[in-house]
Amino acid sequence: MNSTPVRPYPELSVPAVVLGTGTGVLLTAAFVYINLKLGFGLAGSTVAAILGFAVLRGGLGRRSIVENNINQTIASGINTASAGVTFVLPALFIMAVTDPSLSSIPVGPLLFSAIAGSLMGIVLIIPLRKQMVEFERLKFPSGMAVATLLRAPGEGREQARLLLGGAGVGALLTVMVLQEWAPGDFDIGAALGLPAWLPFALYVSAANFGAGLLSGRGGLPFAAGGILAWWVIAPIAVRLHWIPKPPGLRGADVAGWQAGEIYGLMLRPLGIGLLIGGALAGVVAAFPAVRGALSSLATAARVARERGVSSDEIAPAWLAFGAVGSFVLLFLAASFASASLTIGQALLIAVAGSVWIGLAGIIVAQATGHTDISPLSGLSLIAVTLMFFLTGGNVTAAVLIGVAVCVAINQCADMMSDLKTGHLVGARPRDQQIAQLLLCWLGPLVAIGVLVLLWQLPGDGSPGFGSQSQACLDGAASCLAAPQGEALAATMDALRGGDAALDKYVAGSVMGLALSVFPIGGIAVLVGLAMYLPFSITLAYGVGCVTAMGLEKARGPAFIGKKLVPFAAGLIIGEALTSLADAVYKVGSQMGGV
Amino acid sequence: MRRVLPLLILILGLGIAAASGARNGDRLVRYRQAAWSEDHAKSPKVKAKAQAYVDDKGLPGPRLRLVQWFDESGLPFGIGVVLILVGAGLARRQHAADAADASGGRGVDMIGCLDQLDLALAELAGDLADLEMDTPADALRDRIDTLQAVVIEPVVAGRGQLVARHGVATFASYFSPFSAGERQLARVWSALADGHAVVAREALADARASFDEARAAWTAAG
Repeated sequence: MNSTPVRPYPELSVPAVVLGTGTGVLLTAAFVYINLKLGFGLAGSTVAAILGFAVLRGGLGRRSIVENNINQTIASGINTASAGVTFVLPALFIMAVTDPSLSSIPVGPLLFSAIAGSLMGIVLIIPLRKQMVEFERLKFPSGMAVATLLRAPGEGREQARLLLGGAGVGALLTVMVLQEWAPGDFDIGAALGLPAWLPFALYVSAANFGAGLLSGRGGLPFAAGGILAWWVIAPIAVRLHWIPKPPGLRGADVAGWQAGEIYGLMLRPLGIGLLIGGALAGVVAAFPAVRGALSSLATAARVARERGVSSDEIAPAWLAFGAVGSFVLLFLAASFASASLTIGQALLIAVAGSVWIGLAGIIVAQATGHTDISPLSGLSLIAVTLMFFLTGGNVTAAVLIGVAVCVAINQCADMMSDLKTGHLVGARPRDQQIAQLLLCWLGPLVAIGVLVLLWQLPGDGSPGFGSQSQACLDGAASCLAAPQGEALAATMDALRGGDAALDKYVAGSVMGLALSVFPIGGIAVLVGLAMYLPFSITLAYGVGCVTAMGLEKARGPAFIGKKLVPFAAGLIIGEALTSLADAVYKVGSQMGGV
Repeated sequence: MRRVLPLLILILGLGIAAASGARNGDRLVRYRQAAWSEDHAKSPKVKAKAQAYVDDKGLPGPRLRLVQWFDESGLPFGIGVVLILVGAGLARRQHAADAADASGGRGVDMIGCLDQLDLALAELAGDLADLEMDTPADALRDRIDTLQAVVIEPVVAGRGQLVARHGVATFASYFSPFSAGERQLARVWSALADGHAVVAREALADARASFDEARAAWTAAG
């Protein structure tokens, strides 16, 4: 019956690993530089998937959607370390310029710490795959977009047209914002004369709107949280005089100052607290399912062994081995981070760090799963704060463990998003998990290596990046301002002065725990994230949700799957690729002195 | 009204708790005002007074902030949290009652879904049996898309009812193989798109086995 020769159907293959590793290393090095230069990170999945089409499918003639999925899983897994490292670590280098006691940066423990974080993030989140991807059905809009891209060879012409159309609209809108032909925020409130503390603005982002379209009804609590924060709490705070009027300021300046105080000192820290409480409740609620998932992993591995076939799921023994190994690495990193730390303190740091990695990983995975937005900065700040107090004010140790946490929580979100993509294209979770586990050490190594190299680039002992670097002092085009590192360094200085919003974290956590009794999964994380983010993002995302609900009501669920999903995926892909191209262009033209 | 009341109580509680939770203690508010005046005030007298306050009182530390906030906002915050719990608890009860009603026949039809899948996948297996490698299979992929949208999706959308009816652990026992079957069906789709009939057949066999496993677990769940 089947006369055509049967070719293999590759998945976890050598070409996919080589291409994914090469792409991941290149993207990591490039994104570390871009991050230091421009202050924001980029996701590599889309680029890797497109390169996979070109090289695996086009160049090597290999036709396998699931093989390209492994390629993008590896590339994004390696690349994800760049954001984790460049968000936290530059702060230590920058602080060392003015504080000689910090000048001896322990590179070995730093590597241990980042690799431990990378490994721990993956092994702690894998058991939650069933809970988040299969039971809760979190959307992971970027994961859905990548799945749509990977499935493009098998989709009909109309879906391909919608995908390309969405990408075109996304690219056009992004170019308009980047070129300042369109505003970054469409500020209706300002046009209506509303005060700054009663904002009514829409963030102009195709990806944000696309994420809202993909989330539909499920994303509504996020928008509702933003409305509660800015249209209820903010006016109450102003009207009841909880926010003072600074003497000497008038009119719009007062409202602007008050809006800043409301966001920075009230809503944002309260939002972080809600995220923590929501995640804690999530752990409790998910416990039976996680226990069931672990037991099914063990059963699947045993059955597969008995039948002599490979299981679709990774064996729990590997996860246990990875968890213990990463804990030991974290303990070693803490032990050698600073001579002033005792073994007891190092153990405490490793335990607290591991617990926080698990909790923060769940928060970030849930937040990106619902909205595609990661509260990375807030969670890293909590990590650094926690470690700062646990180490009795040891900045080096706090930053070191902060790097581990930051890398870990990025890995959690990335792994889960990749597993969502895998679910949609029919990939084997085990192959994706093994691929990401085996190469988890590489991203931190490359990211830290590039960062250290850039720091030492001047060659005369002067800093290579940050506001005190010669290039930045001279206002040269080669200046690497490292804005995120500068911001974290300033926050660390504030921490040293005792500035930590413990009251907000506690209040938010209690609210998050209480809210989690409501029978909608992840509601506390969504409300917390809405308070944590600027309102224009939340509102524009909410418009996307409402639009999707309206379309579903008017055109039916089939329209959503066949038409809206490819278009919304295109919006996300279009913005991602255009942002990357713009970042590369900006960096290239600045280096070339154009 | 019975349905709206829990949500109203929850929103009221959330508003009260969030507003009082966000409120800063008086010491921090005064400190922020003084710090601003220290940096920006034009009058030397105001500036000096602000500087004296900042130097004397300083920024309240984390513990002091917590204690002060609790003293000033603890009561309304506590009332808000209680209202959240009452609203959420009532909503949860309502949700469970809905699930119990649904189990009377109006809700998620798991067995109906599995029966339809059984028939449709048996038919698909028959069509795949003779499929050559690299044969275009657009119509077969469309059938899988339709199964996903029309047969599987309603069960996925109604999973909240299933959790409320059986509890998380029992729900996981049948929904886990059900989801695995869904993923393996996606693999059939991918293999067909790549022109690989052999892998499509293997994945379809895996999917059918997973749905059978889900049926057994569902029956055991009662």
